[in-house]
Amino acid sequence: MKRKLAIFFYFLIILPVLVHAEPRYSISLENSPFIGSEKAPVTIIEFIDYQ
Amino acid sequence: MKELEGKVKLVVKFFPYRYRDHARIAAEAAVEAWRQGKFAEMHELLIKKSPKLDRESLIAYAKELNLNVEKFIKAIDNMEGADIIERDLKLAKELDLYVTPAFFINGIKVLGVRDADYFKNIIFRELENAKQR
Repeated sequence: MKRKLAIFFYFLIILPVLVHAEPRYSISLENSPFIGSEKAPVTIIEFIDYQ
Repeated sequence: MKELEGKVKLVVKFFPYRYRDHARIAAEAAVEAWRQGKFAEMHELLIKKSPKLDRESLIAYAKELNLNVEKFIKAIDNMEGADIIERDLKLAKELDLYVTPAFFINGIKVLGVRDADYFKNIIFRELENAKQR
């Protein structure tokens, strides 16, 4: 019974957390051009090739 | 996207593919426009005019944006943006990137062209997260 419960919790709680935990990269913004307000809560970094 | 005004900032890293003729000089043009205080304008113009990004066209865009053209020509001919561009290329290599565009939204990697909804979903989720913090 305990084991079933553990398996149940794994699928219900732990697995979704694992799946959702995307890695977040930490990338320096220093000395790079930006568009928009400096203190915006969301930062999008774009690696661009203009051609 | 007016609803996102003030909530999103776009930071640009230069990732010109070596085997494309004008990719590098276009990046040089963007860096020089940035140094002359007109980055957003040049960035938009380059995207709009791509792939017409040969040297003469870039000089015409600099004129259109009222940049100091003499300084601009000197900068793109001498590759004065190399410090920034080489640094970004090195960073792209460290991050194992090999396609453009590549995005990081609050650090979450998004590769390739996606539709606006895809971005909106992540952005709104990040805004919710920011509120809760």
